[in-house]
Amino acid sequence: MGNFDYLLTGFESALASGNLIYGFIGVFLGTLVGVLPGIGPALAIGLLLPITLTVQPTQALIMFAAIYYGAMYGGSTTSILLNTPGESGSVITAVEGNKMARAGKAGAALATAAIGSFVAGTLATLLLAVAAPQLAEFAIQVQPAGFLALIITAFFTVGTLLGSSRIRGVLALSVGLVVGLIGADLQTGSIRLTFGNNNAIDGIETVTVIVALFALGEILYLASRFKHSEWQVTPVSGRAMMNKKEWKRSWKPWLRGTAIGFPLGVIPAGGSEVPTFLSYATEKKLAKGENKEEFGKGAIEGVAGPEAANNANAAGALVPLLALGLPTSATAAVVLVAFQSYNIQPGPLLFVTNPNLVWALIASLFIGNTLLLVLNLPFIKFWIKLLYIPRPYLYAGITTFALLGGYALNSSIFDLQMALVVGFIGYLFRRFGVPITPMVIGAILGPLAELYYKRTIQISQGDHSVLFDGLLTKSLYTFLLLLIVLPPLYRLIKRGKQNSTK
Amino acid sequence: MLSKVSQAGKGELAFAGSLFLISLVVFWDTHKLVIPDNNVAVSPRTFPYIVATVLLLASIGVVIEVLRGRAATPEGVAPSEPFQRADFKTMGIIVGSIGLHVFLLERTGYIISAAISFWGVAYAFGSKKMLRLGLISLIFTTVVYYSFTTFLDIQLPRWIIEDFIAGLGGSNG
Repeated sequence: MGNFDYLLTGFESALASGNLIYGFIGVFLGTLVGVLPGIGPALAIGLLLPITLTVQPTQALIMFAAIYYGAMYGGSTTSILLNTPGESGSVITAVEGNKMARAGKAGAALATAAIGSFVAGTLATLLLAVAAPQLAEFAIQVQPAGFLALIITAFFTVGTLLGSSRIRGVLALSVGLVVGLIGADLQTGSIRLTFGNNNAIDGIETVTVIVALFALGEILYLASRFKHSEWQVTPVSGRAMMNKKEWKRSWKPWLRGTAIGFPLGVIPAGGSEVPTFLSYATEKKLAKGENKEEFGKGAIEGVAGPEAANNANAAGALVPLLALGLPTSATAAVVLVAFQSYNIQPGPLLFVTNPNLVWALIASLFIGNTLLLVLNLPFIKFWIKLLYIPRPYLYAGITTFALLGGYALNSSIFDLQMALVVGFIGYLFRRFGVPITPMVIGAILGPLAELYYKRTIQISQGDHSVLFDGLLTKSLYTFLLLLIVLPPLYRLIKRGKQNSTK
Repeated sequence: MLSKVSQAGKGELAFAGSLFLISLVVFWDTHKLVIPDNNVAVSPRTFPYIVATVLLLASIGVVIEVLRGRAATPEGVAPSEPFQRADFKTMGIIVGSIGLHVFLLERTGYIISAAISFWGVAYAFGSKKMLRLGLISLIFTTVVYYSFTTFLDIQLPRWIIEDFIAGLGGSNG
């Protein structure tokens, strides 16, 4: 059976009435949670994880696909109408989007974001359907040493590309790696860093880490700045629609955003900050005449491009997740945990062992995306009402769900205690400008890196040179070396030039 | 040298310093690790040593950054904004109510312990109408409890209130 046939079977399975309802629930919950300020897609999925515990794998993954895209849509609404954006991928959207809303063009901003997300999401999912099986086919031949190289590359690209300072990215990564160490070593059973606590032998629950970092950490951080913060909802007048001119100004940025967002999701570039920013910079540069002058005051291109890039990026991140089992963003990391809770390990073999499930998932990404367009624009007034929930209740509700999510997975008080500790770490990270995502990636991929490392050395019987065997490993390590060496070198040269011109 | 470091920078020094200490703890824990006799190609010590080294170097790196006057900018704050002292009172109430939730959950059941933490967090964020807030907390957590336990089959600790409400509803508890 070819991949296209598989995709059709996938559609059949996703559209089966029993399954479609989960798509609907997912889209609804995803948008609902995504709209709430302070909740990004990673946290949204983390919070909704317990819900899927009692659902069949296929239905749960259909729901996740819908939640994944739903949370992104919801997030863009919040960033356009609120002066404080909820999640990192929407920061750029907020720059122009909120200005547009204040100028009375909220409807157009919401429309271009929603339709742009739909266009980008559909195109990117199509690319995903083509790229992921190919990558998986290639990855089947990759040796443990190659996987180790891939993970190390992901560590450093995620660590150094995020946040204002590289050293703080590496710091976040290493804290995550320490969290990943806790518990029994998989091969020898040696107990590490539990300090005699038997609850910790199985390690720290990943969902607890994610929920605590994103929810409790954020709540504590908001509390620490409570007196100094403000927020205003910009009212929407009229309907979420675009006129002819706005359509004309939007469609090219949508396509360019997709072209920027998708590849940067596939390679581990660490989340959606980089692609959304690149898209914004591109649109600003390409704009001409009076459109250019609107940048900074509410240019529609500045909403259309980054929103498309954001969604295409989210689809792109699913490629390495499905084909290699490697999450490259915090959100993808949560989806990985969702797979694992059903004992399904994403990776090269997934397309061979579970084709029906993967293709149902991909098909439901298409369906979810379409449902969102239908559900969101006409009902935008309903979603906006969520922004008016009084802040004390909103934050108390987020805390309640985070605590529930932390406990319910294993019915464990120890998990909750850890949630409080990790939540405080999340606060400290925000307070001291340390990015969160590298820590999540470190905690999840750290144990995997150790596993591949040990396998490689075991096969070679102690010979470390095999770590660099093969074209893939060599090129990855060369790429890493360049990534580490080039920026300081560039700065040095620039400084040298400046000195010589003085 | 410390005189050049701002108020916020001093907090960051303490933060990086404690991560430095954690890296030492990892070294120490790895050093005294019990390793089984069977012959394995890679010791379970290798990877933790690497991790501890990276953490050690990164925390020193941050200390150097701060000492050079490049303290971090907190998330969502423009670099030019003046330093703001953290609102420890609000934070304290929240940490306290979450702690209370953790302590009470398996003692008083879900509804009471979750209502207390909901109440605490909402109070910390400025909700002033105590009685109304208390009522909302109880209704909210009751709804959460029953939607999760009945519709989603997720087990949450029960106690007097849960049993009482279940009794009202007849045999569905």
